[in-house]
Amino acid sequence: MADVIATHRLTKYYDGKPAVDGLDLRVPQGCVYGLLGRNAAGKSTAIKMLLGMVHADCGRAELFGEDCECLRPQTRARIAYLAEGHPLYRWMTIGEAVRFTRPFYPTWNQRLLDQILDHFGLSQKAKVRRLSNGQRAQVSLSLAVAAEPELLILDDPTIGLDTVVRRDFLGSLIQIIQRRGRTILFSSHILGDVERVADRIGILVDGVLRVDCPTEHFKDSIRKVVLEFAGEPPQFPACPGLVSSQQVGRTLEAVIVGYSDEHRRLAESLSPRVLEVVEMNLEDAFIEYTRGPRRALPIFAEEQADVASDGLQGAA
Amino acid sequence: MLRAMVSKELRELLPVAAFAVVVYLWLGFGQPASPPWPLQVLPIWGRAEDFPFLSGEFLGSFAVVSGVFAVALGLRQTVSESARGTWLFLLHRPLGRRRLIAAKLLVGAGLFWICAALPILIYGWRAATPGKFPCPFEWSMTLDAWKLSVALIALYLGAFLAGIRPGRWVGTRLLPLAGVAILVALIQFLAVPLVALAAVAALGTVLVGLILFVAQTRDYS
Repeated sequence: MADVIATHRLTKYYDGKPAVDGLDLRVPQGCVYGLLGRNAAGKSTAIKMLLGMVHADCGRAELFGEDCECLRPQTRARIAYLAEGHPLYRWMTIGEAVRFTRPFYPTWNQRLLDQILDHFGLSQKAKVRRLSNGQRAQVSLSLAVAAEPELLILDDPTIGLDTVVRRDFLGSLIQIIQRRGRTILFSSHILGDVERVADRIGILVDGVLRVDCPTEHFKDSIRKVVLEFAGEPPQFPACPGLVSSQQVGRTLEAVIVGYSDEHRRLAESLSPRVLEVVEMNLEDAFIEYTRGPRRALPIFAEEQADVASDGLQGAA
Repeated sequence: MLRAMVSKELRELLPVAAFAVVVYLWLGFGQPASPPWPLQVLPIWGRAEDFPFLSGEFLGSFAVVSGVFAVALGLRQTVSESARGTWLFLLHRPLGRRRLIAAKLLVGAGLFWICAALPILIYGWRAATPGKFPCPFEWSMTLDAWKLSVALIALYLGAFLAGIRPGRWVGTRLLPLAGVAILVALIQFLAVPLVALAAVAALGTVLVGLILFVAQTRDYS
């Protein structure tokens, strides 16, 4: 399947530090891709580079096979972009925002827009400045979807929304995804959102794409090994896939990517009293993966050879 | 598309333009006994004993009010987009960045010039009406005012450039605006109107080129 988004060694520096470092990302048509990362991991910068809002210092990015630095208006019309914070002109009413946006899109679907606004219970006479964050997000989404885009790029679309509104917003997003198999790239640091929606995830750590794999595969390949000792626990031996290890009393906890028999043998060689391998949900896996001592972070590409199952694609 | 863009810009700029027109008319025709503080420094024109366009009051006030108006328009169109974070929304519209910015410039410059022409026309019309002023009037007497109104379009462009160009306000950001202000003042000394017009056109072309270049190459982060 053709890649709708493709980047090659995309890099951006701010004040001499890499905000995005050698990003190689491929999102095939119809994929829902969740770009994860902690604050300042480089998610927004990467997205802005994809849309030509920020210029890369090196590397290149393509959307629909076209250089992102100079997207033609026709190509841009195929892409909907929801920027972080849902910026809209606050002096406009929703109707005015619609009338401003509509003429730019030859594929504008007014019926769909009316349906979505109706679904959200938004009146076209409402002033944007009087809308809550959640309602503004809904207006942004409505405007984006009414243009019938083939690609939706959403930069932290649920930030600042309360739990209920977030769930409704995601529900709407899922409905949209189900229409005509659109490609969606969205960034978030709310793992529950990503788990519900994304087929595939990428995790940016300090600007480097450390993980690029199917969502389920990431969960399946990361394990916490809990070792209980009678006395002071030893250090967990350095090995491929070890993300972090820490002592908690007489317990040694190690987080391992691509847990295998090799790791089990290593753990058993420490002669623990109890050895337990714990599965992790996406949120725990993400937290463990991104907060560990940075030097100990394995790059998935390097681990790929050691991971028995396929599906993981190193991107760093 | 362009109509949507023009209409949006007009809606955003009309309050600034309306305010400027009120100040023009009030200074020229309100003839208040004691104007409020910020306007006390400006000479009032249009008094019965004045020589229209020649006694100096008009050009002085007109230059100050129009200058402030031009800068306000240029900054309103750029800084407000940055402050509201709407550059990202606007520049993703599928029209092309150059055309979007060009539409902004056309609306801003056009609106500025129309508003600036208004007091010249009204004052000139009053001066041309017999019995209003105790001196003869020729439309050629308005030439300096027209020259200034056109030259101040460059100041508007300078303000637009300062607003769109990333940089520190207390630093290099205002440099283009300051440079343009000096050039506009110098242009006023050019006696031959056509030469002055050519100088404004050249300055304007450079500024528009710079604005489009900056708009195309800067980061909107």
